[in-house]
Amino acid sequence: MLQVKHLSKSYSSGDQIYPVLKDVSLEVGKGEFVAVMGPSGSGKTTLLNCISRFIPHEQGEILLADSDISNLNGEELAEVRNRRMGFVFQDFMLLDGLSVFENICLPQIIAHRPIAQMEEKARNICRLFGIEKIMEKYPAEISGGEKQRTAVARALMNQPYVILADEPTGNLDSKSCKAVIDAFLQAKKEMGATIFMVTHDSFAASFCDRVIVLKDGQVHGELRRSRTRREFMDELLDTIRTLGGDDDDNE
Amino acid sequence: MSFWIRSAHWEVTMMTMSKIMAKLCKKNREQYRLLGVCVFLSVLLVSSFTMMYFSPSIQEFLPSGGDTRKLMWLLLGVVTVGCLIFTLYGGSLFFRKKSREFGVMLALGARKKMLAGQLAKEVAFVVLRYILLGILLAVPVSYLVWKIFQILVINTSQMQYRFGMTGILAGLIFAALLVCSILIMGIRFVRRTDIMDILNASRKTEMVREIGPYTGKLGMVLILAGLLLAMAVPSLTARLFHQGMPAIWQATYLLCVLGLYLVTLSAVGRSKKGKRPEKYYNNIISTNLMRFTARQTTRNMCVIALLVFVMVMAAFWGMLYYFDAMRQGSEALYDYSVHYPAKERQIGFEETEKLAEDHGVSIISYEETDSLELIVRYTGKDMDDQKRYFDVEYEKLASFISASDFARISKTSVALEEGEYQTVTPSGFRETIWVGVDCLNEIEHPVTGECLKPEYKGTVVSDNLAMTGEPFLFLLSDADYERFSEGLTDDFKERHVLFDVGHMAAASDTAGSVSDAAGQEVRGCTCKEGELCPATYDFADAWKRAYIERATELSNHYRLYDAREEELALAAGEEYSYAGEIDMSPDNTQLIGEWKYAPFSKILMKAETMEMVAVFVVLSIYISVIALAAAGIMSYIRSITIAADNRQLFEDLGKLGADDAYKERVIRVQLRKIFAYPAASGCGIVGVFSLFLTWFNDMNLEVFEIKMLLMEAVLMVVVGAVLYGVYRTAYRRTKEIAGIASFHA
Repeated sequence: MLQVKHLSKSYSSGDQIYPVLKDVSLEVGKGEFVAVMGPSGSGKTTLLNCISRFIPHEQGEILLADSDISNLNGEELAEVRNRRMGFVFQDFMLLDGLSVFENICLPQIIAHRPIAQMEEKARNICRLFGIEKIMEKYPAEISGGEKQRTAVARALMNQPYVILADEPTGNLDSKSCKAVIDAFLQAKKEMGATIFMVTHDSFAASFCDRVIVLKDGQVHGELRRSRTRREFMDELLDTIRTLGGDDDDNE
Repeated sequence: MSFWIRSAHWEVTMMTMSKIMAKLCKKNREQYRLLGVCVFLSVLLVSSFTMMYFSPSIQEFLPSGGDTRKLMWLLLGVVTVGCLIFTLYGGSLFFRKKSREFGVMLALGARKKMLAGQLAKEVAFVVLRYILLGILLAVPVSYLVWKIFQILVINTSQMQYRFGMTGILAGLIFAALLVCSILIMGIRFVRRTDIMDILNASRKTEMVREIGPYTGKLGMVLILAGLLLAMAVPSLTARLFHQGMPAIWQATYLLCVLGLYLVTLSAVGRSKKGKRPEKYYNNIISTNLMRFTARQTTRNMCVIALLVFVMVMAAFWGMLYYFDAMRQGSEALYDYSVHYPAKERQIGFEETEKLAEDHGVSIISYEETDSLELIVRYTGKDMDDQKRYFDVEYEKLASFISASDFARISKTSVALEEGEYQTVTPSGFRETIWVGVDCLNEIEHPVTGECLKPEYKGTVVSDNLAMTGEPFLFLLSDADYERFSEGLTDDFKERHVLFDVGHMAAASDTAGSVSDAAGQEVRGCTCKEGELCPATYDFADAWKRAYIERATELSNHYRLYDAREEELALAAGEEYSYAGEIDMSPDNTQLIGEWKYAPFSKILMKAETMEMVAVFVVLSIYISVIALAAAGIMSYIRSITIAADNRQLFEDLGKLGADDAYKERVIRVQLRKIFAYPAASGCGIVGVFSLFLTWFNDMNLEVFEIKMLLMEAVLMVVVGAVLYGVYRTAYRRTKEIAGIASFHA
């Protein structure tokens, strides 16, 4: 579903050039729930921002459902973002002036979808994620977990090829974190969603099918969940500890 | 069929998107209102000013091409820039807040073109609505302001306010400038393609470099150095070396601007534990809040300080003009005086007395004397293109009065020997660089050619007579006067008439009464002090009209016209610049200022000269009001921006155990800096500026000037009080935004 081939990206400050991503290649299959982990400064968020084309990259290809999105113009990119990708941000990025229901409807409103169909779908998704009771509330009136579930619901509205999630549990307590992960798992199970999640949270990552580990801008390895979730989490913790740190990554 | 389905679908979905946008607009109406209010206020302030300035009532009063017009254009420029700055500031905040919404929409796949169109529609709706409102309201506001000033300052119903299309057009041009600026901001905002930047724009912070311990002190030194260099140096070089400074020297004022920036930067971004660590720790949150937006905050505070400067300066200038005009002629011994060529048959004593009777007033004292118009050669100064002063030998006609006539008129004793002269000056006279009171080198009889090299014997004061001579009126001993009178025709004589009038006394009220010229008992005006006496004013007006009616081509000359200078210029084949006739109509508002033989009357001076000065006073004070409004709005916006940007921080402080009182203190310290520093620096700079301006003008401070400086200090207190009011409002609003419920303050 998602392929990244030989992706390179660097930042410059004055005369200095800092390579952040060095020849990164990876693949995410349809219906797969994949996390990217790595120590602080490893390039996790930069990778996600390059895939979503929020920031430009220097080299490499990004293929979504076998079509290269690296060279799309603004108009084409807008369509891809609206119909083929869904986004979940660490700080939710809900519009404060719109209710939960309206926030969820937003991708379809932008795509000019018929109203009745859109509203029906939004109601179903709300029901699926257990947020139907807060549909008429505004972001300021709901908890962090509810905000993030709203964001996940919004990301799923146009049935994208892939959901790109940037530290979706970063601002949440453990209970809310579990609720968001459950929402992802539900989306995967009920809607066949493909999820690509950047996280530093081993607990959240332990629910994934696969975890790609980044270090110094390169793919350092890959861990596949084959045993129980608990054992997978221990394995992740060991790996991260070996790599040196599990701090927040906001590069 | 499919066309209809598509059309219907399009209509429904478009409506939905519009609804969403409308809902976002409604929810974020605060942002729109802020932008709208900024646009509205700036259009209202500038348009009402231009409507007033370009009103035919004012344009007819301002001399064409004069300094007043230049100054007004300069002030208009300052006002326009000030209003533009605070509106653009409001606009930048609007776009900053809008960026999150814009970024989320882009991330969800909305097309930039669609969003840009929607944004343009929303902004255009807000901006155009408020522009229209501003211009419409500017009409009654400018009228009301005029009316208020008419009651307070102009004090006469003669000067009626008339609207002119030029003022409205100027307001519309400003509005167009505003629209273009906001449009450019919008285009720049939309062109930003990096979604990450857009998403992060609302929480973007900037760090300034470490601010050195001497930044503030260096700033102070630069401010003082700038003022000294710009104001003291030209005055000192002119006096000491007879050399003015080139226009580029004015650039030294930029040192002040740099100094102001450094002082503000130091106040905003510098904190040191020093000897009072408890203060450092108490203010640590406030200081750090400011430090992360230091550059932006410093820029804003500098603009506010400059607006405060403009505000106080404009009001000070207005006051200076007003009170200077008020005292003009007030020291004159006679309420009425006039001089005219002796050959002209002007209104005499009997006619004046008859006119007085007709108006219910009486002549209290009446004096007449003749002056001789003799050729003088004197030394003065002029300036060349390189701003170098050089001596010039002038030759022209000057008026001479005999010592005994002067003693009779001025009721003082004067003793002059043959060959001596004295110079008549007005009270409070200060010598300028252009000509000295002892300037006379030689006097020549214009008919016989007899010459005298007179000896200077000091000055005598007479406000009435001093205003009739250029450069001065002089006194000669009676013997010299007699000698120079011989052979002199009336072509070379001028008649001086001076008198007072009083209201007819009521029979029962004779307190303070005096006898009039005919021995009748009269007393001073029965009107309250400070009020315009209608009877006296009517007499003065009738006397002025009668005087103008009698004026012939003999006296129809510009103020600086001199027959000898004209003769010499024509003999040399040159054009004489003061030649020509003036419009001798009594309704010509420029007549008193332009006419060589303009009559003087205290009451007319007060009523008519004040009208002309009042125009400038009104405009200056209005500009200061605009500058104050701009400063207040900018400070207010800056304050609420801090609260809005740091809402999370206040929540975090609460999580760390800070109570509302602590959070309030953080806000107070922040806001005090935003309000107090620009107000203090603006007032401080304008104080030193005014002091230098008055001192270096003639290297002296008159009592009047000291009074004006004290009045300026009072004005600063008023500015402080107004800004304090804005501070209280901003404080309340900031607390609401920061989510502090209780009001301990």
